[in-house]
Amino acid sequence: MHENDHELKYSTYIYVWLALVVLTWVTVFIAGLHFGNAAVFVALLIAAFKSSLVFAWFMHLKNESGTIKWMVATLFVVFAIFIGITFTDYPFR
Amino acid sequence: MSNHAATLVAHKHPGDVEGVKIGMWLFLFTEMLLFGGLFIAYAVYRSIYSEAFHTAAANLDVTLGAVNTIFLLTSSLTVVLGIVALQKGKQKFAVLMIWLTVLFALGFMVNKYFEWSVKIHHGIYPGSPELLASHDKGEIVFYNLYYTMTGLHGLHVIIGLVVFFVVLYFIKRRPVVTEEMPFDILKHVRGGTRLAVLSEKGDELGTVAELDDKVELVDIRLTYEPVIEKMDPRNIIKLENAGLYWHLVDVIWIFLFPLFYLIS
Repeated sequence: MHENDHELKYSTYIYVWLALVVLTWVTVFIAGLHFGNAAVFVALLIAAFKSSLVFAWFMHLKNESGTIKWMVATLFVVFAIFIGITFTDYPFR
Repeated sequence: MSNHAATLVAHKHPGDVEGVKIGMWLFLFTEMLLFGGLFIAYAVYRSIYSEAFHTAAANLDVTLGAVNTIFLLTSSLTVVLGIVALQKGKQKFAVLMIWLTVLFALGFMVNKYFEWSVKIHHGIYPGSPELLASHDKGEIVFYNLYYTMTGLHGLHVIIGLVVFFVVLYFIKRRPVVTEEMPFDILKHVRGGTRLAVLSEKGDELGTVAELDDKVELVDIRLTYEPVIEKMDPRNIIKLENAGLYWHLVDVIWIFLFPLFYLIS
């Protein structure tokens, strides 16, 4: 908590929340445009961006030590490998 | 005789903050992989039954889903605001924020209850004879995934609620704390001395012991009730970890919402 001392502001988090709410509206709006498969891609992209906001600000990953940052990065790589292995295998069965 | 005044600062050590957080993140990793596996299952079935997923998703209420998204996002905000408040020592505001979080979480579950009730009423639930008879295979897979993933997510919301009540208990309680500490100030004192407990203003609250030359070591055990402003700093870490869990629940919903509600 001491490493977060410079971060004792309510307003920052309210801005992040506002961004998240706006992005939710954008997701719903884009889904209404019926872009087909591209819409899914855009929705996932926005979801990924929203998640990164939550991870960085709400979960304080921004101010965490390198150890925790690298641990989280490693998990994402592992998960990407899972996805990669699944989709180099499943479509060709 | 000496007039040595020694101040004993009895503080609760926050402990290994980094270690506690790493532990929490490791637990979150297992949660991410648990849901991650389900998301991969979703991706595979969606690539197979793409059309059926679109048809089935039309039955989900986008408005309810969007409202629930806002509920969870807002509850995530109130958690971080609560953490900031606790760091600033504004305990009452922190408690209010945690109660708001609990309220939004309950709102989420109430919505979920109505959503599921309507669907179950229409005969859409895993294994329902109506569903098996009237819908095609892809739609059945969609609803099974829908109930499994939002159900598991809802279970996490309920667990989060319990966790917040536990954190509230720790913040609100005023425990009697007992601490023992070796008091080696005597090394610096020659001759007779007196050990007394003073208030913050310096008033003598009581004499503990008269010490003379023969005393070589004194062990002090303090039993006290912390005032609310000087609460246990470990409560901040408890709330931070509860917050980490809650934010992950939020992130999972951020993906569930477009993947189930917005694909019709």
